[in-house]
Amino acid sequence: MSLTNAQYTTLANHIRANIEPEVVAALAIRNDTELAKLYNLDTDFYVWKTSITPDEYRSAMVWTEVDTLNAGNARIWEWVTNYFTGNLDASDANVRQGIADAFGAGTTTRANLLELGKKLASLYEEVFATGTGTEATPGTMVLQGPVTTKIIGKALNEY
Amino acid sequence: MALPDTAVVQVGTQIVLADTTDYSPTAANNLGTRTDQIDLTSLANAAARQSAKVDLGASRAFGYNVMAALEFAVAPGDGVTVDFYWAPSNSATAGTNNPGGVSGSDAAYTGTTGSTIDESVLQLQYIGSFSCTNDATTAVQIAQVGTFAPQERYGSMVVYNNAGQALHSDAVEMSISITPLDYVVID
Repeated sequence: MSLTNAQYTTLANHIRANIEPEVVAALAIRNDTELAKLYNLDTDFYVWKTSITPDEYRSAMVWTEVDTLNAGNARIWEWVTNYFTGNLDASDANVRQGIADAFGAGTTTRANLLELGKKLASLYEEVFATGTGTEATPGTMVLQGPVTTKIIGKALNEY
Repeated sequence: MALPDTAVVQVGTQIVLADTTDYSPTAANNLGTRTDQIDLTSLANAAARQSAKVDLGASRAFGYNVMAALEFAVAPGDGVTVDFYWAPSNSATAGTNNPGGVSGSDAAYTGTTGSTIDESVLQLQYIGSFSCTNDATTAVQIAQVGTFAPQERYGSMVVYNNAGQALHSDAVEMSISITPLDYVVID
Protein backbone atom coordinates (compact mmCIF):
# COMPACT_ATOMS: atom_id res chain seq x y z
CA MET A 1 0.00 0.00 0.00
CA SER A 2 1.50 3.31 -1.02
CA LEU A 3 1.77 6.12 1.49
CA THR A 4 0.15 9.48 1.13
CA ASN A 5 2.30 12.62 1.13
CA ALA A 6 1.19 13.30 4.69
CA GLN A 7 2.18 9.79 5.76
CA TYR A 8 5.62 10.14 4.14
CA THR A 9 6.04 13.39 6.04
CA THR A 10 4.98 11.75 9.29
CA LEU A 11 7.45 8.92 8.79
CA ALA A 12 10.32 11.23 7.86
CA ASN A 13 9.65 13.48 10.84
CA HIS A 14 9.48 10.49 13.16
CA ILE A 15 12.82 9.16 11.97
CA ARG A 16 14.50 12.56 12.28
CA ALA A 17 13.08 13.11 15.76
CA ASN A 18 13.92 9.62 16.98
CA ILE A 19 16.57 9.73 19.69
CA GLU A 20 17.26 6.00 19.89
CA PRO A 21 21.02 5.74 19.36
CA GLU A 22 20.71 3.04 16.71
CA VAL A 23 18.32 5.19 14.68
CA VAL A 24 20.43 8.31 15.09
CA ALA A 25 23.53 6.43 13.96
CA ALA A 26 21.83 4.89 10.94
CA LEU A 27 20.28 8.18 9.91
CA ALA A 28 23.62 9.98 10.12
CA ILE A 29 25.07 7.80 7.36
CA ARG A 30 21.76 7.17 5.58
CA ASN A 31 21.89 3.47 6.24
CA ASP A 32 18.32 2.97 5.08
CA THR A 33 18.63 -0.81 5.31
CA GLU A 34 19.33 -0.48 9.04
CA LEU A 35 16.56 2.10 9.46
CA ALA A 36 14.08 -0.27 7.81
CA LYS A 37 15.23 -3.07 10.07
CA LEU A 38 14.83 -0.90 13.17
CA TYR A 39 11.39 0.31 12.14
CA ASN A 40 10.30 -3.28 11.52
CA LEU A 41 11.14 -4.38 15.07
CA ASP A 42 8.27 -5.05 17.44
CA THR A 43 7.28 -2.43 19.98
CA ASP A 44 5.14 -2.94 23.07
CA PHE A 45 2.14 -1.37 21.33
CA TYR A 46 -0.64 -3.89 20.71
CA VAL A 47 -2.81 -3.77 17.62
CA TRP A 48 -5.58 -5.89 16.21
CA LYS A 49 -4.54 -8.18 13.39
CA THR A 50 -6.32 -7.66 10.12
CA SER A 51 -6.16 -11.25 8.94
CA ILE A 52 -6.31 -14.54 10.82
CA THR A 53 -6.47 -17.60 8.62
CA PRO A 54 -8.75 -20.60 9.21
CA ASP A 55 -5.70 -22.70 10.01
CA GLU A 56 -4.78 -20.23 12.72
CA TYR A 57 -8.21 -19.88 14.34
CA ARG A 58 -8.95 -23.59 14.05
CA SER A 59 -6.26 -24.18 16.63
CA ALA A 60 -7.98 -21.74 18.99
CA MET A 61 -11.26 -23.64 19.02
CA VAL A 62 -12.44 -25.74 21.94
CA TRP A 63 -14.67 -28.25 20.21
CA THR A 64 -16.72 -29.10 23.25
CA GLU A 65 -17.73 -25.43 23.37
CA VAL A 66 -18.61 -25.51 19.70
CA ASP A 67 -20.73 -28.55 20.34
CA THR A 68 -22.84 -26.65 22.86
CA LEU A 69 -23.56 -23.59 20.67
CA ASN A 70 -27.22 -23.01 20.07
CA ALA A 71 -28.41 -22.63 16.47
CA GLY A 72 -28.26 -18.82 16.49
CA ASN A 73 -24.78 -18.64 17.92
CA ALA A 74 -23.55 -21.31 15.53
CA ARG A 75 -24.97 -19.31 12.64
CA ILE A 76 -23.14 -16.19 13.80
CA TRP A 77 -19.88 -18.13 13.86
CA GLU A 78 -20.56 -19.58 10.41
CA TRP A 79 -21.31 -16.18 8.97
CA VAL A 80 -18.34 -14.49 10.62
CA THR A 81 -16.00 -17.13 9.25
CA ASN A 82 -17.86 -17.75 6.00
CA TYR A 83 -18.31 -21.37 7.06
CA PHE A 84 -14.80 -21.70 8.37
CA THR A 85 -13.19 -20.67 5.09
CA GLY A 86 -12.67 -16.94 5.47
CA ASN A 87 -9.97 -14.99 7.22
CA LEU A 88 -10.98 -13.06 10.33
CA ASP A 89 -10.28 -9.33 10.48
CA ALA A 90 -9.85 -8.71 14.17
CA SER A 91 -9.51 -4.97 13.59
CA ASP A 92 -13.16 -4.92 12.55
CA ALA A 93 -15.19 -4.26 15.70
CA ASN A 94 -18.18 -6.04 14.18
CA VAL A 95 -16.13 -9.19 13.68
CA ARG A 96 -15.02 -9.05 17.29
CA GLN A 97 -18.63 -8.53 18.30
CA GLY A 98 -19.58 -11.61 16.29
CA ILE A 99 -16.98 -13.67 18.11
CA ALA A 100 -18.23 -12.34 21.43
CA ASP A 101 -21.85 -13.04 20.51
CA ALA A 102 -21.10 -16.56 19.29
CA PHE A 103 -18.99 -17.59 22.25
CA GLY A 104 -20.13 -16.38 25.63
CA ALA A 105 -18.04 -14.61 28.21
CA GLY A 106 -15.92 -17.08 30.13
CA THR A 107 -15.52 -19.51 27.26
CA THR A 108 -11.99 -20.53 26.37
CA THR A 109 -12.69 -20.25 22.65
CA ARG A 110 -13.71 -16.61 22.97
CA ALA A 111 -10.59 -15.80 24.99
CA ASN A 112 -8.38 -17.75 22.56
CA LEU A 113 -9.82 -16.03 19.50
CA LEU A 114 -9.49 -12.56 20.96
CA GLU A 115 -5.95 -13.30 22.07
CA LEU A 116 -5.15 -14.62 18.60
CA GLY A 117 -6.41 -11.36 17.15
CA LYS A 118 -3.73 -9.28 18.85
CA LYS A 119 -0.13 -8.68 17.93
CA LEU A 120 2.67 -6.33 18.76
CA ALA A 121 2.98 -3.57 16.21
CA SER A 122 6.29 -2.80 14.58
CA LEU A 123 7.59 0.70 15.14
CA TYR A 124 6.54 1.58 11.58
CA GLU A 125 3.02 0.33 12.30
CA GLU A 126 2.90 2.10 15.65
CA VAL A 127 3.81 5.45 14.07
CA PHE A 128 0.55 5.40 12.17
CA ALA A 129 -1.66 3.30 14.49
CA THR A 130 -4.57 4.73 16.38
CA GLY A 131 -5.97 3.75 19.76
CA THR A 132 -4.65 2.84 23.18
CA GLY A 133 -2.31 0.04 22.21
CA THR A 134 -2.43 -1.91 25.43
CA GLU A 135 -2.94 -5.65 25.53
CA ALA A 136 -6.41 -5.07 26.98
CA THR A 137 -7.27 -2.41 24.41
CA PRO A 138 -5.24 -2.87 21.24
CA GLY A 139 -4.97 -0.10 18.70
CA THR A 140 -5.85 -0.21 15.03
CA MET A 141 -3.29 -0.22 12.25
CA VAL A 142 -3.59 2.43 9.55
CA LEU A 143 -0.56 1.10 7.67
CA GLN A 144 0.86 -2.39 7.91
CA GLY A 145 4.49 -3.34 7.74
CA PRO A 146 7.02 -4.27 6.81
CA VAL A 147 8.44 -0.94 5.76
CA THR A 148 10.92 -1.21 2.89
CA THR A 149 14.21 0.60 2.37
CA LYS A 150 12.58 2.28 -0.59
CA ILE A 151 9.85 3.83 1.55
CA ILE A 152 12.42 4.94 4.11
CA GLY A 153 14.58 6.43 1.36
CA LYS A 154 11.72 8.22 -0.34
CA ALA A 155 10.54 9.67 2.96
CA LEU A 156 13.97 11.01 3.87
CA ASN A 157 14.83 12.21 0.37
CA GLU A 158 11.63 13.98 -0.46
CA TYR A 159 9.85 14.97 2.74
CA MET B 1 35.10 -7.89 -55.24
CA ALA B 2 35.50 -10.29 -52.38
CA LEU B 3 32.63 -10.51 -49.95
CA PRO B 4 33.41 -9.64 -46.33
CA ASP B 5 33.58 -12.75 -44.24
CA THR B 6 33.96 -11.47 -40.66
CA ALA B 7 32.60 -8.69 -38.48
CA VAL B 8 34.37 -7.95 -35.24
CA VAL B 9 33.83 -5.55 -32.37
CA GLN B 10 36.37 -2.80 -32.08
CA VAL B 11 36.50 -0.77 -28.91
CA GLY B 12 36.08 2.92 -29.56
CA THR B 13 37.03 5.93 -27.48
CA GLN B 14 35.55 5.59 -24.02
CA ILE B 15 33.25 8.10 -22.43
CA VAL B 16 33.79 8.23 -18.68
CA LEU B 17 31.35 9.96 -16.39
CA ALA B 18 32.82 11.07 -13.08
CA ASP B 19 33.10 14.08 -10.80
CA THR B 20 35.54 16.72 -11.95
CA THR B 21 36.48 17.83 -8.45
CA ASP B 22 37.03 14.40 -6.93
CA TYR B 23 37.80 11.80 -9.54
CA SER B 24 41.25 10.39 -8.98
CA PRO B 25 40.98 6.63 -8.76
CA THR B 26 43.71 4.17 -7.97
CA ALA B 27 44.89 2.17 -10.94
CA ALA B 28 42.92 -0.88 -9.87
CA ASN B 29 39.64 1.06 -9.99
CA ASN B 30 40.30 3.32 -12.93
CA LEU B 31 37.70 2.83 -15.65
CA GLY B 32 39.29 5.52 -17.76
CA THR B 33 39.99 9.21 -18.14
CA ARG B 34 37.04 11.37 -17.18
CA THR B 35 35.25 13.00 -20.11
CA ASP B 36 31.86 14.07 -18.76
CA GLN B 37 30.32 15.14 -15.49
CA ILE B 38 28.34 13.27 -12.87
CA ASP B 39 28.76 13.66 -9.13
CA LEU B 40 27.72 10.51 -7.30
CA THR B 41 28.88 11.75 -3.88
CA SER B 42 26.64 10.51 -1.06
CA LEU B 43 23.86 9.53 -3.44
CA ALA B 44 21.22 8.36 -0.98
CA ASN B 45 19.18 5.21 -1.14
CA ALA B 46 16.04 5.73 -3.23
CA ALA B 47 17.58 8.84 -4.79
CA ALA B 48 18.78 9.33 -8.34
CA ARG B 49 21.44 11.42 -10.05
CA GLN B 50 21.58 12.60 -13.65
CA SER B 51 24.72 13.39 -15.63
CA ALA B 52 25.51 16.32 -17.81
CA LYS B 53 24.40 15.74 -21.39
CA VAL B 54 26.83 13.58 -23.33
CA ASP B 55 27.64 13.93 -27.02
CA LEU B 56 28.15 10.51 -28.57
CA GLY B 57 29.38 12.10 -31.79
CA ALA B 58 28.00 12.68 -35.26
CA SER B 59 28.99 9.12 -36.11
CA ARG B 60 28.30 6.92 -33.15
CA ALA B 61 28.69 3.24 -32.52
CA PHE B 62 25.82 0.80 -32.88
CA GLY B 63 26.13 -0.17 -29.27
CA TYR B 64 27.75 0.85 -26.03
CA ASN B 65 28.82 -1.14 -23.00
CA VAL B 66 28.35 0.35 -19.56
CA MET B 67 30.38 -0.51 -16.50
CA ALA B 68 30.53 1.33 -13.21
CA ALA B 69 32.76 1.68 -10.19
CA LEU B 70 30.80 2.45 -7.04
CA GLU B 71 31.70 2.78 -3.39
CA PHE B 72 29.23 2.50 -0.55
CA ALA B 73 29.32 4.13 2.87
CA VAL B 74 27.96 0.93 4.43
CA ALA B 75 28.01 -2.51 2.81
CA PRO B 76 24.80 -3.11 0.89
CA GLY B 77 23.14 -6.50 0.83
CA ASP B 78 24.21 -8.98 -1.81
CA GLY B 79 22.22 -8.60 -5.00
CA VAL B 80 20.58 -5.27 -4.29
CA THR B 81 20.89 -2.93 -7.23
CA VAL B 82 21.78 0.50 -8.50
CA ASP B 83 19.84 0.98 -11.71
CA PHE B 84 21.07 2.79 -14.81
CA TYR B 85 18.98 4.57 -17.43
CA TRP B 86 19.79 6.52 -20.57
CA ALA B 87 17.87 9.67 -21.46
CA PRO B 88 18.33 10.10 -25.22
CA SER B 89 18.11 13.53 -26.80
CA ASN B 90 18.45 14.94 -30.29
CA SER B 91 19.58 18.31 -28.97
CA ALA B 92 22.99 19.43 -27.79
CA THR B 93 21.36 21.99 -25.52
CA ALA B 94 21.20 20.76 -21.96
CA GLY B 95 17.58 21.56 -21.23
CA THR B 96 16.11 20.75 -24.62
CA ASN B 97 14.30 17.60 -25.75
CA ASN B 98 14.96 15.41 -22.77
CA PRO B 99 12.64 12.60 -21.69
CA GLY B 100 11.45 11.91 -18.16
CA GLY B 101 12.11 15.35 -16.75
CA VAL B 102 15.87 15.05 -17.23
CA SER B 103 17.64 18.42 -17.11
CA GLY B 104 20.76 17.68 -19.14
CA SER B 105 22.93 18.94 -16.30
CA ASP B 106 24.67 17.13 -13.45
CA ALA B 107 22.09 17.29 -10.67
CA ALA B 108 19.76 15.31 -8.48
CA TYR B 109 17.11 13.56 -10.54
CA THR B 110 13.62 13.62 -9.06
CA GLY B 111 11.54 12.76 -12.10
CA THR B 112 9.00 14.96 -13.78
CA THR B 113 7.06 17.63 -11.94
CA GLY B 114 3.98 15.47 -11.60
CA SER B 115 5.49 12.04 -11.14
CA THR B 116 7.91 10.12 -8.96
CA ILE B 117 11.31 8.79 -9.96
CA ASP B 118 9.86 5.31 -10.40
CA GLU B 119 7.19 6.61 -12.72
CA SER B 120 9.46 8.97 -14.64
CA VAL B 121 12.26 6.55 -15.44
CA LEU B 122 9.77 4.60 -17.52
CA GLN B 123 10.26 7.31 -20.14
CA LEU B 124 14.00 6.56 -20.23
CA GLN B 125 15.95 3.71 -21.77
CA TYR B 126 16.83 1.10 -19.18
CA ILE B 127 20.44 0.01 -19.57
CA GLY B 128 20.83 -2.43 -16.73
CA SER B 129 21.45 -2.84 -13.04
CA PHE B 130 24.63 -2.81 -11.03
CA SER B 131 24.30 -5.82 -8.76
CA CYS B 132 25.95 -5.07 -5.44
CA THR B 133 28.08 -7.18 -3.19
CA ASN B 134 28.40 -6.96 0.57
CA ASP B 135 31.39 -4.59 0.52
CA ALA B 136 31.70 -1.18 2.12
CA THR B 137 34.20 1.59 1.67
CA THR B 138 37.13 1.42 1.16
CA ALA B 139 36.31 -1.42 -1.20
CA VAL B 140 35.30 -0.18 -4.63
CA GLN B 141 32.80 -2.35 -6.42
CA ILE B 142 33.17 -2.61 -10.17
CA ALA B 143 30.41 -4.30 -12.12
CA GLN B 144 28.98 -4.74 -15.55
CA VAL B 145 25.75 -2.78 -15.94
CA GLY B 146 24.59 -3.56 -19.46
CA THR B 147 24.79 -2.71 -23.13
CA PHE B 148 22.53 -0.38 -25.01
CA ALA B 149 22.01 1.06 -28.47
CA PRO B 150 21.31 4.81 -28.22
CA GLN B 151 18.94 6.09 -30.87
CA GLU B 152 19.99 9.73 -30.62
CA ARG B 153 23.30 11.54 -30.73
CA TYR B 154 23.04 13.03 -27.25
CA GLY B 155 21.91 11.73 -23.91
CA SER B 156 22.24 11.76 -20.15
CA MET B 157 22.90 8.96 -17.73
CA VAL B 158 20.52 8.53 -14.80
CA VAL B 159 21.75 6.53 -11.82
CA TYR B 160 19.04 5.33 -9.45
CA ASN B 161 20.29 4.01 -6.11
CA ASN B 162 18.08 1.20 -4.86
CA ALA B 163 20.78 -0.47 -2.80
CA GLY B 164 19.44 0.49 0.63
CA GLN B 165 22.68 2.34 1.39
CA ALA B 166 24.06 5.71 0.44
CA LEU B 167 27.09 5.94 -1.80
CA HIS B 168 30.36 7.04 -0.27
CA SER B 169 30.93 10.62 0.86
CA ASP B 170 33.48 11.32 -1.86
CA ALA B 171 33.53 10.47 -5.54
CA VAL B 172 37.25 9.84 -5.84
CA GLU B 173 36.79 6.26 -7.01
CA MET B 174 33.34 6.39 -8.57
CA SER B 175 32.80 6.49 -12.31
CA ILE B 176 30.74 5.13 -15.16
CA SER B 177 32.37 4.03 -18.39
CA ILE B 178 30.46 4.03 -21.67
CA THR B 179 32.46 2.09 -24.19
CA PRO B 180 31.57 2.28 -27.91
CA LEU B 181 31.32 -1.08 -29.58
CA ASP B 182 32.19 -0.37 -33.20
CA TYR B 183 31.47 -3.17 -35.65
CA VAL B 184 34.28 -3.54 -38.14
CA VAL B 185 33.86 -5.67 -41.22
CA ILE B 186 36.98 -7.58 -42.15
CA ASP B 187 37.47 -8.70 -45.68
